Amino acid sequence: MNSESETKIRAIIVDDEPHARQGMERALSDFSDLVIVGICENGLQAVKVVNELQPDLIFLDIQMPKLDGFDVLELLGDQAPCVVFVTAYDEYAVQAFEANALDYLLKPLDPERLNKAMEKIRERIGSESSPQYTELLVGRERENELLQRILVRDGSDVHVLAVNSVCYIESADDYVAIHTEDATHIKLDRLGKLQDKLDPRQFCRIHRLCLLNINFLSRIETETKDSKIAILESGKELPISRSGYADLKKLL
Amino acid sequence: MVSASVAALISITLDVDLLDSTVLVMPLYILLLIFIVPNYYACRGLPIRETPWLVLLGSHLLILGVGTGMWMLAGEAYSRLLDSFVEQARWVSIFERSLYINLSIVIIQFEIVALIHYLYLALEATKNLQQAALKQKLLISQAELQTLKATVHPHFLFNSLNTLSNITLSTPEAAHRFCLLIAEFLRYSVAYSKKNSAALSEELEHIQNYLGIERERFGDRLETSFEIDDSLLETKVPPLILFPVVENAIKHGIDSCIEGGLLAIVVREQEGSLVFEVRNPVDELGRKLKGTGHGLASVKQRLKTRHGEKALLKVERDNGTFIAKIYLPLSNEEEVLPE
Repeated sequence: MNSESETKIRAIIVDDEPHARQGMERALSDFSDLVIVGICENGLQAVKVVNELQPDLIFLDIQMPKLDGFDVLELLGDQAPCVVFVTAYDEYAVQAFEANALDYLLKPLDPERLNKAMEKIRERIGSESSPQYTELLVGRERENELLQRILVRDGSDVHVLAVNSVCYIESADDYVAIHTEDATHIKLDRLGKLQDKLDPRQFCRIHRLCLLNINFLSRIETETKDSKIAILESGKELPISRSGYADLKKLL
Repeated sequence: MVSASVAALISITLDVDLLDSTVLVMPLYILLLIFIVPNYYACRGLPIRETPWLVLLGSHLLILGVGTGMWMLAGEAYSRLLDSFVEQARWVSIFERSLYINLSIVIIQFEIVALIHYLYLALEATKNLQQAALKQKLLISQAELQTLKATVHPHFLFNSLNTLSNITLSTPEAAHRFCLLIAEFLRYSVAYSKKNSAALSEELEHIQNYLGIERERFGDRLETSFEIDDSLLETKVPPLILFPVVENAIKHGIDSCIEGGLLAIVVREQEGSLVFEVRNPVDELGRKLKGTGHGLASVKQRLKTRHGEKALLKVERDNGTFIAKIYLPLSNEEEVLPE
């Protein structure tokens, strides 16, 4: 106990409502072993601040514009510190938190609940065991239908890409390179996993390493009798494998 | 039963054998049942209240005449047939002698049946009317419940409660003002179902209360502007028809944008219609809230049931701006039709 008070828990608060931020700040001021190092108004700021300050703990609101609490978690990936979710009414979320034994607080804040959560947090941060948030995200993805946007993080910067603006996606080891008309974004993800979440009528696996948005396809050229090339509207050339060509023909 | 007693009556009054009269009368009265059937259709076709009494009387006399005439011919033929089987002819004479008894009984039966039909139809009509009234009532209360549910959304209550819990600790005076706003808002939402129409000014005040509550929650993220044609303030509108559009603008518009934005409300007159326009920014790539558009769908439904083709909800998206317009007919009639 004594050793913990010497190294204070560095926490950030993420909430889109000004009163909620103040309320949380006030409630947390009672804990002498905790110091608030950042207050964020939205998910974009949260990703940035976590990246820059590497806090031990986030009090993360779920319902926020553009990026909700789960999006923030997805973007942080392994970099995510200990998280206490804060929610007012998201039924699904509460179930998920309970199933995954994660800490969550309900709004309005109950000081007693906050005390208990803080006890758990001290234990967890003391033991250095990082909680698993991935299951929480997997469960949520299943609930959502086809992906409409892809979230990409580049250090502190977050990009929200509309699926329709993606020309093609290339696979490279554990990463995927997402090419839009004017930029390329790197994301820690598997091409196959991403493909499953995208509209199969729009995206075609023309090659083991390449997923093409057929809306950007200009024409197909035959190079030799067995190798074909997809020419995009931008002029970019992409190789098509034999099975990829079969899939593409079916789709077109 | 009737035929048995008629047979007995004839055998007594005309002093003939009971068996003879029964053989004659029994099949004829069963036949009568068939001749009486058209009566039912006549009763259906000539509703007692709506048909002029001369027509009613005439038609029934005609049906009676044709029915009894045909029955008499059948009786004559039947008694002749019976006589042709035996040596001692007697049925034709029994039939002819008993004609006055038979005729009066047949006529009475015809008219009793007609009366019973009319009674039955009247009962059926009242039952149908009651059922229709009940159904209408149910429909109305369902619509009311739906609108009320959409009006006082649980998420809204939760959000307001959270805001309130935070300001009670920071600024008690602001908390008191906030409570007043919520009280006003809820009072209007709950009371509206008893009203058939409301003045535009009342509706706008309700919207102002709502925006006052949300302003507290959103802080700098919510800006509002109003541009109202004052001459329309007393116009009667369906209660709470405008509110869902504003709520939608907050929930799916302002709240989808990181920086929030301006919610602009315009009320003006255009070609005999009151136009209520709400304009707000929307982030198409923002988190999609579940249940998008449900509130607007119910507004559309309400407008249609109430004004038919004369009212309209139009929705446009233009490069990050969402515009919703409600067109309500401006008529001179004071009374607005119930929904």
